[in-house]
Amino acid sequence: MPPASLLDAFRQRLDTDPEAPFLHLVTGNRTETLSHERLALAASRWARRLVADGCQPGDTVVIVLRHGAPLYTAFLGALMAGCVPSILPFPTHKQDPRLYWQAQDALLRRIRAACIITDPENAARLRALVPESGTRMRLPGDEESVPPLLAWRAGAGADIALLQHSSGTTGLKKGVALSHAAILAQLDAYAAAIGFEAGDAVASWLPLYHDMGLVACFLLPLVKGGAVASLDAFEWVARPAMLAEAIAAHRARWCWLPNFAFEHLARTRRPEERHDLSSIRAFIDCSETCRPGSLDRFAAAHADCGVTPAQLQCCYAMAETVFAVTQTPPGAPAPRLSLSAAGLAAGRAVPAGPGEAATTLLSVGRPVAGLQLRIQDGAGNVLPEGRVGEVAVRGECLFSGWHRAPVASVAAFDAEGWYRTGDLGALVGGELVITGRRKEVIILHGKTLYAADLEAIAHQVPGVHPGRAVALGVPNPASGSEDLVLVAETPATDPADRQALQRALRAAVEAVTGLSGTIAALRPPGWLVKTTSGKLSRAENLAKYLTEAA
Amino acid sequence: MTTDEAMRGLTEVFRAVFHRPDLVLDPAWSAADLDGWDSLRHVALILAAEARFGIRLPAEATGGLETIGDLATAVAAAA
Repeated sequence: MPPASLLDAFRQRLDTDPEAPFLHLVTGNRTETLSHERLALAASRWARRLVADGCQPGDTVVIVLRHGAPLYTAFLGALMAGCVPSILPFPTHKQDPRLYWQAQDALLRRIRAACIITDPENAARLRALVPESGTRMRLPGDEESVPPLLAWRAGAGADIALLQHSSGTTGLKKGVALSHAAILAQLDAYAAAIGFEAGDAVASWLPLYHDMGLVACFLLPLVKGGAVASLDAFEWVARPAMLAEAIAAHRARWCWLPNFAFEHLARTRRPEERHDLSSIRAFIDCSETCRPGSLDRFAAAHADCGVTPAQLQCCYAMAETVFAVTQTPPGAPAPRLSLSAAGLAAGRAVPAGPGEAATTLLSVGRPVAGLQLRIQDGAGNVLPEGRVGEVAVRGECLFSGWHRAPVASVAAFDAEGWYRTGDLGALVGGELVITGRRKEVIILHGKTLYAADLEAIAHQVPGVHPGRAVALGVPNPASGSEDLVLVAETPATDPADRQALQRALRAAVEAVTGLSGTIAALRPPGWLVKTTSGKLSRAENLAKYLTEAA
Repeated sequence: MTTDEAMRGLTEVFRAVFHRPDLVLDPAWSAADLDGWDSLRHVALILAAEARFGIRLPAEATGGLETIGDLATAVAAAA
């Protein structure tokens, strides 16, 4: 039997039911629906365009496109041509495009794409960055002048299907290489774990450059006979009710959201805007710490829309396993574990005794089929149930390595093929709870950032010196996510000078990353805690910041 | 409503949304001038302003708002 390809199911659907809708693109008040056939026609024109441009099987095609049909058709077209698509975010209107593309420069140089497909507003700057004639640039519309490619050259099996750059802040992002086999193994296991059925619709505002958006909300319905109602992330933030409208309009069964979105939806619910959400089998909380209060507030604010606790589930996922590592089963509320607070502080996840101070954590479920999970200590020794340690995974849906980083890729797996996730957790009765992560990782609204990248941005601001700034992720119960706090030492005492420095720090982060809302915490020289070897101790700085803020 | 009246009401709104009871607003301020003013907080500000003044600020009106002064102008026009 020939190895299976990500496009096999799509091709079959084209034979059996070409007019079946796949994509409902929601923009403002309009919805454009694309059938499988329409999608395939446009995609196969992209495929012909790429082949005619000289793109070879295995070549990377970088896609930097706004929410719209070309994002989906260019991605599928790249797969059809046997190329390896990689979707990257575009600069937001608040970002300085020059700074943004400068930050992407290192990444683009490493990727060495055969083609970049982007919107006209990015073309000039991108062209300036990748002047080598080896990288073509194409805009939506360029595919309309060529006939469709009828003989697809799609990869299969161990061939790399796509690159994911979810984590990281700037050009230091690593490209997670995912094979057709790994992706198909994940989709089979995940569909089974949640009970995804042919005909199911997904409602989503998640960007496709994020693994949850790409895998759960595009590839899963594509391969498992479903459909997706897709919203623009920026539109949704400003008008969160769009999601409920889309769920009701398309009788969506599935919706994946980072934890902060549950709070945002609860907080922005207008009583007069009521939509029927009873079609949903599960709202799945994933991409950042799942907080019980956030689910509770969401459920309470939408009880009159048919939302029940049994619809609220949790998932623990990462690009390195394609998507889901664990998932709670739909149909019953995601389990909550009342654990001894003192025990957790001592590295033990044990039920709280009567009268004992307890911490309630949501279970993120059990491993999906084909994936093995274990908890290990710093030396790689396996820890038993109830002990907090690093989560390690192994299985068919693991990544093939990081793109153009062969040494790091080999080093990522231990001798028995286990991958260390960097997250801390414990198994309690077979359920996984996540208790923390490496301190150099900050997860903001579901986006994984590296503290070092943010500190590098801070160092560029006049008045901030290397070693004199630290980036911290501070949990914010009100937002259901974390706040990015940049602590910078400064001798400045004049209020106007301090305000200007704070403004400069916030603006620098936004210009490079597009992230607004940075908390610029100025402290006197000598405030930051360092280890004896002179390195910044993130854990101690976080503790000091929190102690002083209390 | 005058923009001065709008600014007074917005001061209450910002103080509540940012949990800063002593905050004094500068109409020239935009998102980069306050800790924690991200896109989600922005939506919370709009909703709180609507509730405070009993108005609706449609998405098209709030999309281009850059400064607090802009917001005060929009509120004064809608109230």
